Amino acid sequence: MSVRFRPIDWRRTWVIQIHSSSAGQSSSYVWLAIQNRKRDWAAVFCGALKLLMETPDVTPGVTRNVPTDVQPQEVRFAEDAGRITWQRTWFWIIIRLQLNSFSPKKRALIAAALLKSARYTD
Amino acid sequence: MPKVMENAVITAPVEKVFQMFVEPERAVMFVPGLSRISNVSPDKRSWDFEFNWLGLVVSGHSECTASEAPKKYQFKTLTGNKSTWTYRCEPDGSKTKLSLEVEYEVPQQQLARFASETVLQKMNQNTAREIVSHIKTLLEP
Repeated sequence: MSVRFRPIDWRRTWVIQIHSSSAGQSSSYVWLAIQNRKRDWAAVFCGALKLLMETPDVTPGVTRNVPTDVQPQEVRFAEDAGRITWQRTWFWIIIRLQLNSFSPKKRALIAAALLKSARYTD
Repeated sequence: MPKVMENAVITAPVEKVFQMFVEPERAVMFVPGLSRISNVSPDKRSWDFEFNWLGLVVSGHSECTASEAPKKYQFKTLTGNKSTWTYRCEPDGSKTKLSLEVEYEVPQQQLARFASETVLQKMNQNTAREIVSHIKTLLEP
């Protein structure tokens, strides 16, 4: 086991939470990911959801007049009670998570687990 | 070796609770501070781990030492500060009694960084409590 200080982790993707709100049975989160390399976000989130014992359903982007590589994409899970959408821009990716089910504690835990995956999945 | 222990009753069948442990990568979802599990062997009996607390990185290697579905899952951290983690699942009607026991070595040079062994024990106890609580939260509706 090694213990070291590593303030900058080059394998990590920089993802920050810029908004979160919770009301009643719903919670929503907005994250901003710095785009330092091309990444298969569908694979990142589907992998995390499988570890959370959820069944992800990927929907490819279908917005008209938008190039394929910047199409918004989404993953749905928990019988559509959960939805992650993301869209690439020039410098960053905006990721939105919407949870319309589960207890407040479970929603917070799912969001934290998905954020961790967004940051650390290689 | 000192040890900490935590228990919870989870409203989920014992097989489902045990499933939480058989994929080593799944631990990232419920262990606080655990950022990566990598180099998982094909038989899922060994893996590397990495904790990250605001830039302080602790990494090492683990091996599964017992996987007796759906009752007991045990692994050991083999490098540096050695520890043994044992999850036990016991059916209780439609629910499951889950216990987590962590035995750990207390290296003297690292102990100096903490105020005392009691503080380290408290930290480990809190971590074990959080892990069990997270598993319960994730498995219940």
